[in-house]
Amino acid sequence: MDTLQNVLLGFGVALQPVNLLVCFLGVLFGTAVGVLPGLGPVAAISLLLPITFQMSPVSAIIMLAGIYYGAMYGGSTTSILVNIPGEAASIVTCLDGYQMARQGRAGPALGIAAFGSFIAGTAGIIGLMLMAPLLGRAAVRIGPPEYVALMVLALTLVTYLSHGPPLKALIMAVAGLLIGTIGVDPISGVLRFTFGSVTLMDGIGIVPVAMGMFGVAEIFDNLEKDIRREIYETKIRGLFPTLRDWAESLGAIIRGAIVGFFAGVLPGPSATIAAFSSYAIEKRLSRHPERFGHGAIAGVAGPESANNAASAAAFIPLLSLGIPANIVMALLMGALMIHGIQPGPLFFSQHPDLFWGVVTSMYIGNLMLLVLNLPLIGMWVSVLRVPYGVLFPLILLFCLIGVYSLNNNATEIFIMLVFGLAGYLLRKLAFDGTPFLLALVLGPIFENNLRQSLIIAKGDFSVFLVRPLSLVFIVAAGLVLATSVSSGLRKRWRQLEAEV
Amino acid sequence: MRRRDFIGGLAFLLLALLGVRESLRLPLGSWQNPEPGLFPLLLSLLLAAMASALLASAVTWRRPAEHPEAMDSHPGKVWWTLAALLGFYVLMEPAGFLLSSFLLLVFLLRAISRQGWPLSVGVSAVAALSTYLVFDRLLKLPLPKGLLAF
Repeated sequence: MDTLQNVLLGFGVALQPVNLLVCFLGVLFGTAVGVLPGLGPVAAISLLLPITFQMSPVSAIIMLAGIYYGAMYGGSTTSILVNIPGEAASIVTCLDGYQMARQGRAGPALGIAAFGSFIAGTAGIIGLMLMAPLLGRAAVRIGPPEYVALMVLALTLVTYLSHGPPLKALIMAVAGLLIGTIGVDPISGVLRFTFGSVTLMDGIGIVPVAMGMFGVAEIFDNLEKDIRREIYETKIRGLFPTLRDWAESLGAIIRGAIVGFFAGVLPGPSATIAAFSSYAIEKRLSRHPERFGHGAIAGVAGPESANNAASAAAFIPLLSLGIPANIVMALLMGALMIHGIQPGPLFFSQHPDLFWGVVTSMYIGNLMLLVLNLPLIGMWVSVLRVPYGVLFPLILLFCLIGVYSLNNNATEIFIMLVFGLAGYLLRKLAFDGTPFLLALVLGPIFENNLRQSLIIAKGDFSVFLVRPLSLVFIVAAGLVLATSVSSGLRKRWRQLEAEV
Repeated sequence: MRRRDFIGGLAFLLLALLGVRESLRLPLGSWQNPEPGLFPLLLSLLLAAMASALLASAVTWRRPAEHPEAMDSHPGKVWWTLAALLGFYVLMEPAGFLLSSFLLLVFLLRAISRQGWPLSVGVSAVAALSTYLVFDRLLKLPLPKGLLAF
């Protein structure tokens, strides 16, 4: 009964006219950035963050969340029509979606992507509603040592799941933790690594770093590669999939939703992993695996469902534990903190209207997306025709305004450019930016809990091993680390053998 | 030797050494009562160890099969864009948002994207003016007025 009451409370909040409006704007803007390659949800959320300062926290988060799941919807459109994923999570949709478009079946491909996203997104939200409060209630009882162990596990998982060799990912994570110590020490008030800069006293903000490493660096990368795209010129008709299409897709949608939900809870690029896993599962289960890559509709339905379920599930660790699972969640965490709200175990009891309002707005937003996406596809296609050469200066301008407006501080622009350059060079050197940014966000919380644990335990490190939950997290982190190190060593060993 | 890992390892090693030097200037405390310098010092040492491991693996890498990187197609565009953005950063407060964003857009559209003059100037004027009106006037997010502060 409790849940029902809470859902009613949530709908009461989400159906307020202002919240309906911001939800609509969020999903519309989100779809647009999902459609446009080069402008992802990270840059879009960063840009709109300053605008949300004047809103209530509920409206702010409803809008920012809308951008996130809206982008997942929009990403499929570019994958299918242009063979360029608007979003990393839509890469795999290119394989069969674009082939379907070439066979004149762009309509059903876009249709099944929208329906699958809607069904799996809704399932993900139900899972979020059921699981997050439970986890939050359990998490109230955990103390600083468990938190430290949990963050060690989260960071280890991020490095394990990121691109490239684990050593490089670990280096990025530790560098992120180190950069996270810049600013006023929260316990003693001592200044650290500020080098006389007033801006650095507040620490390095997540928005300029995220915009730099993921917005500006992406543009630099595209400029260097000189990307061009061609839209597959076809008449899009009949967006509604046929009965046969449904028969081939329904299982894929359900399996995609389940895989996506569980992958979404993990830290790291979970929506992308969910989409790839779903594709692999569908190919294996299919009676005609040879059709995959040549326009199999299940190859579109599964991954698109999985990435939407994952994007709903990614809210669970953020809202119940205060641990962001990906970059977008880290930005949302920043947004909540700007509004004076600390996500974590106490979130549900302190801000029930916020949690239930945001979650129920996601139902409404998913419905809006379904209604919005199908009739507006023609408009998105014309948006896609804007050449990148005209688009990128505008994207850069938006990044500049977004970062400046955060604190009306031009130094933040400089910080963004420094991280933009660093992000571009690190990409060339094959370092993944995700562990860095998540560590930067978690760093201050990690340090606080570590120092508190050591003070409580009088400097005895065994405090992390004698408490059962903390021991479980540490052992799990150790296993993840051992797995990645041993696979790296095996690879090296094989190379050495091959040389001899 | 693997060049990419060597450069990356060296850069992070330098960052770690800077971290060590700066942390040692802060009070460290003890395990019982850690002070502000301890956590950054431990992180810097850990980073130094890992960066050294990367350097070592880069140096001992014996496969000659590293392709000369085929990615340097248009690096000039990147550097010019970065220079233009830095120019915007320097100009924005004295010259104002409107003028500096107009100049930035004209430069990027004309020099980097090689669009024609009419399109470059037209798009830049419309984009600079409309973003200024939307953000500064409509959304009340103050942007620097600079020369236009009258």
